Amino acid sequence: MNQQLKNDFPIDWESDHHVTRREFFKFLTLASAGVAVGTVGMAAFAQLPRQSRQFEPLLVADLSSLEPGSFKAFAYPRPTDLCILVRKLDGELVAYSRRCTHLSCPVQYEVHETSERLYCPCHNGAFSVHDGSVLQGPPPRPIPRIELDVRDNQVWAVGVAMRGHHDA
Amino acid sequence: MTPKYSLRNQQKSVVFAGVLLFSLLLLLVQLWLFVILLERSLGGQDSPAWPAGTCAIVLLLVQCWMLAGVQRLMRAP
Repeated sequence: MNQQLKNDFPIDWESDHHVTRREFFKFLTLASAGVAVGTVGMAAFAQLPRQSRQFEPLLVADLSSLEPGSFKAFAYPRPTDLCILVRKLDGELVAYSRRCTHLSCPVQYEVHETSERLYCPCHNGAFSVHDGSVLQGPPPRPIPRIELDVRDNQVWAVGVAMRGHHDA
Repeated sequence: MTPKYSLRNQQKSVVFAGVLLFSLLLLLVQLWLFVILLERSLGGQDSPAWPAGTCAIVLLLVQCWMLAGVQRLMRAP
């Protein structure tokens, strides 16, 4: 029965699965074309105008409850998007995503005398609390900034700044 | 198979292997460029966008040129 099957379908599996060097070279060239198309597409995408994404406003805190040098954790725009509202030592309000851009560990606000920063304890990364830029460690890019609005002594989150658009 | 023919085939094989390795290296450079561009773009830095895109195209052209050269080489007597 088995021999009959082999006679009816004489497929040489070894030669069928064999990949020659020339075929592999063609595959490499095809992969190179794919990566090139992706890179050019990404370059074009990077040229698009940056606009912040607006979401439903969310009341985060009363301004009076935040002393300079304090912070409050919240979630915005989705319940799973952890964020941190910081009242800096100079009194300015800023908010950032809490997810470290390295491996998404939650960052925390740290104050040392006159210096302040957002610190990720997982891999010793740190971000500037002023603009979200990377100060140290493995994070590859700045931490996303949440846009705020202060209305009637209340702090509202109103949007997420996109790709380096850090003007609140 | 004459000794001369065999030597010629060996030379072709060595050249092919060298070009193949170089091609792999170019693909790795392209992947590295893509990852760097992705990280910079997400971080809001667009300055390397078009140089990286141009490099990727140039590397692709080099790959195509090498593929054509290798095919010519293997067809040659």
